[in-house]
Amino acid sequence: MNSDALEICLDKVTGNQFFDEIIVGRFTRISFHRTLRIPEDGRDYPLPAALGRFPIHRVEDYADKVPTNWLKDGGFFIPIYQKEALFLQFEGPIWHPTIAKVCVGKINAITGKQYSAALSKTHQDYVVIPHQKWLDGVCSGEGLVRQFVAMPLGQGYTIEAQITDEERFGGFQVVVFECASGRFHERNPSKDYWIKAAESNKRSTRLYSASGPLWFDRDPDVSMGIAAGGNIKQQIQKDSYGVESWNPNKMRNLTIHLVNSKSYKAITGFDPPESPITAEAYESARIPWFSDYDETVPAIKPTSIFKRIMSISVIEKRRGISGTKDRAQRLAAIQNIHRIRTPDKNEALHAFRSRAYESYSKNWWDSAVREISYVIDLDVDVRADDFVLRSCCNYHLGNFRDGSIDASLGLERDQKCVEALTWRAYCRKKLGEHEDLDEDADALLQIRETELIGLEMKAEAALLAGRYDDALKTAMRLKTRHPGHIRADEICHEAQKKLL
Amino acid sequence: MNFRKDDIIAGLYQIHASFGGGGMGLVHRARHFVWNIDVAIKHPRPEFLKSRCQVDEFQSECATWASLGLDPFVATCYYSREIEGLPCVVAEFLPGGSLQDAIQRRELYQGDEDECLSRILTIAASTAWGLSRAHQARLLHCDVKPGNMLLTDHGTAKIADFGLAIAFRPSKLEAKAAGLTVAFASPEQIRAEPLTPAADVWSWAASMLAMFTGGVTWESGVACGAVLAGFMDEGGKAYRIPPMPGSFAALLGECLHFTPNARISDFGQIAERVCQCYEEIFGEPCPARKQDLELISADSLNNRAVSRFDLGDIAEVHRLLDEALTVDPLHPEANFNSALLGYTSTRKVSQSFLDGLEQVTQFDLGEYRPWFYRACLLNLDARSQMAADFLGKAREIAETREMPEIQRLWDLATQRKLTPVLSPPISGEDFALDSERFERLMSKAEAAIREHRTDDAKRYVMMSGDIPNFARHPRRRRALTKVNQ
Repeated sequence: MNSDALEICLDKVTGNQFFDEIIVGRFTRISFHRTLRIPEDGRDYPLPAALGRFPIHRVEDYADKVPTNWLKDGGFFIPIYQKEALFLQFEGPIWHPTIAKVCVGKINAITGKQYSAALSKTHQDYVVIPHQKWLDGVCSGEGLVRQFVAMPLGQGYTIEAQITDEERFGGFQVVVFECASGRFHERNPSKDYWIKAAESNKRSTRLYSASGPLWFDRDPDVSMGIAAGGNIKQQIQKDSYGVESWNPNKMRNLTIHLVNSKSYKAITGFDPPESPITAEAYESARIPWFSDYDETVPAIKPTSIFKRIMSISVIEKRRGISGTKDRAQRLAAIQNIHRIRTPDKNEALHAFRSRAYESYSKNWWDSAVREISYVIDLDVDVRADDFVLRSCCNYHLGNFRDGSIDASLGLERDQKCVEALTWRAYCRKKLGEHEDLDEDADALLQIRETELIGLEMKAEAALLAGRYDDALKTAMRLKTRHPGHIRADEICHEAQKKLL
Repeated sequence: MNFRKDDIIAGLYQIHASFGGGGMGLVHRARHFVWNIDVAIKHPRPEFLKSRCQVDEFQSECATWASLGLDPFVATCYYSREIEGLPCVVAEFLPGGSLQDAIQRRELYQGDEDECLSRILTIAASTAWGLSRAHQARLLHCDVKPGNMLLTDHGTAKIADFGLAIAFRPSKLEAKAAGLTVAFASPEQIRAEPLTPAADVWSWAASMLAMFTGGVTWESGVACGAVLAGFMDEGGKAYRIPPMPGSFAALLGECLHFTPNARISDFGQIAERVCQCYEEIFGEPCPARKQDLELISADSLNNRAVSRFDLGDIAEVHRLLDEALTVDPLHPEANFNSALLGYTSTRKVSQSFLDGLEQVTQFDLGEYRPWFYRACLLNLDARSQMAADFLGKAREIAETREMPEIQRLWDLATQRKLTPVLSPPISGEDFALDSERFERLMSKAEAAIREHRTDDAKRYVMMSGDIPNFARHPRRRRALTKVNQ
């Protein structure tokens, strides 16, 4: 194991012989929840309620009974019925976020690409914990997921089969990464709005026991995989911290096998959980639905791969399997939707602006640009200073064109914004736009506080334009006003050389 | 004659909306009553029509466009016809608007840098494949520009308005309204010299440049080479638009050689280079890939037959349907249409076409259309009970969204007013991905059959049948027969 690997422990449910969540590192908690399998009828459903946690067992505790190929990776297993739906819950403190890649049959649930334990610098293929509270399915649309539904391996239903043509792995593979050193707090600093928001976001965990006959096939094969169910409205939130905030070496791989109920009993000796709830029972018991849409954070856009994944009922229809209009397709109008509290625009604005200034103060230019861009995109109370901050960061990143335009946008909001004028001049100097630079220099010279910068820019503009005489004169003026000005010396030297 | 909203023209189309179609003409979105789909009807502005010869040339150019048939990256031209004295082209309506609109409304640049660059390069590859297809058919476009690159509602780009600029070239029209769009015109077009495929290459490159610059920042297409060089010197990036990748800029540079002979002129090669560039950047194949058009040739032939039926050219309809059935004897629409045409002359439904449709149901278990077509034909043949059974089966299989169309056609069938039906439209990216998966699964299945791995072979063949429109493919039929043996 890598020396940086995170420790794993399990939380045991008091009085039971199994665990109900996996704790990775010091803070991150992952649990698996039973839920309603929503209909695959083309409609987009809200989040169905959590109906109890799946029991989690360690593979190593049943080494003599589990399939031998499980022993190589170790990990965990949970019992699940064919066509039963589930979701993952992530918990952790807001002041110490982490990230997790979630794969189904070694297919990344966000991107649809093959499993990789490396962090991609270009594509977000992970969720940020605890901002992403749950993951109910694979990312299939903007703000949409296709529900995780268990199916036996070897029949071509799973997402793994539809993408790779093979069904070798099944189950879930989760990789948790710690944050980069110094990026976040190690202990709770204070209460801020994110914490308040997180505390209020409980998705009902009311346990519902279904009664009546089972309607699920019991498959003799041990391992199950994840197939695609119906559409659920769920955002996969974009990582507002940026990939640079995570430590690619401090990570932990988890393998979670799915076993059918029959094999579960054979391996553990325990009775499997009761059969999952039916849509009719869910409706008649008036179990609530949930909506967790955060308008202040953009959602990840889906890749084309998952847009085309076929659901179980579509495959069954394509194969002419009768009775495809199974219970998952029977649900009337959705009522009783509980809206989970998410930060409002002002709260988000305040939080992102604070983070942007903090990143700026630490010279994390990339992060600062991203964070202040969130503020600008929210389009509420955007100030000239916000554009100035982005302009300055873009300058440091070498994006002089963007820096210049940002500064101009700042000046549109506040014509007297000296900082915007200054950063535009710096950017224009780098872009070699001597005429525009000369104009900015004149404007800077009109303001008492920026007179020296104005002189410097005037000299730079003259130098760029090949007016070496002017450049020399202006630089000499600058030297007189500010003896020891290094750039003034340099300009004098350069201009004299050219004149000679 | 001007068409206005809600006008019903030729007893077949109802105008829903009208748009300015550029200098040369007007475009209308209309509902085709019989096909029950929206079509785009385009015609030149009446004031520009000067002679019969011009109308004939327009029709001839449209016929060449129509001969391209179905293509994932070319907007389908159904036919051209004279309506109320105007030569009109009836083409596929693409609801996503033009690339020009997407650039102007900044819709092209939505999302993060990667997403946006992926979208731009996919459009570049799609349009290059579309033009490659046209050039292979010896059809020059001569007015390639973002306004003639139309988008499906999923964002796939298709090339439209082939050859219309030739039919209405400046010498035949007032210069102001010429089909030529100066900002995208090649130097040889500006000089009114004879044109080669290289002219379309220049205009395509100018259109691609406009995507990265956020719009046209030059007056004449002649300047595009210099604009590209200047743009790249300044970092190749416009505000809030991803930077142009170096390899793509190099390709555009080769397309913008002033001398046509020095220009890269094979669009197939250009499309391959764009796909290569995409793969280098994103580490995955470009969604707009080379297509195996064999797979949709029967669809194409059937649709051309249906189009000719609209024009009353029954001999050509028969010829095209026969050709479609030679390519794919189990093509559902071609079987249905052939049976329907046979019925109109003999008042009998030919058993051979019913057998063809029955065979489709054996290979494509999840498709409602063969069941439904059999129901309609049996209803014509007064075999009501069997017709009702098959209708029930079709309804059982069909998706909820398909029900209204089933009901509409069934109503027509019961009134004996059925007319030939079109094959469903195809989308470029979906088709590319479906055909690639099908190819992969069939190769694996054939290898498993050779190596006597029967279970694997069965699984691969079963999975290949999950791909819509591929279940009845001859290659799968052969594999299925071998597996069952």
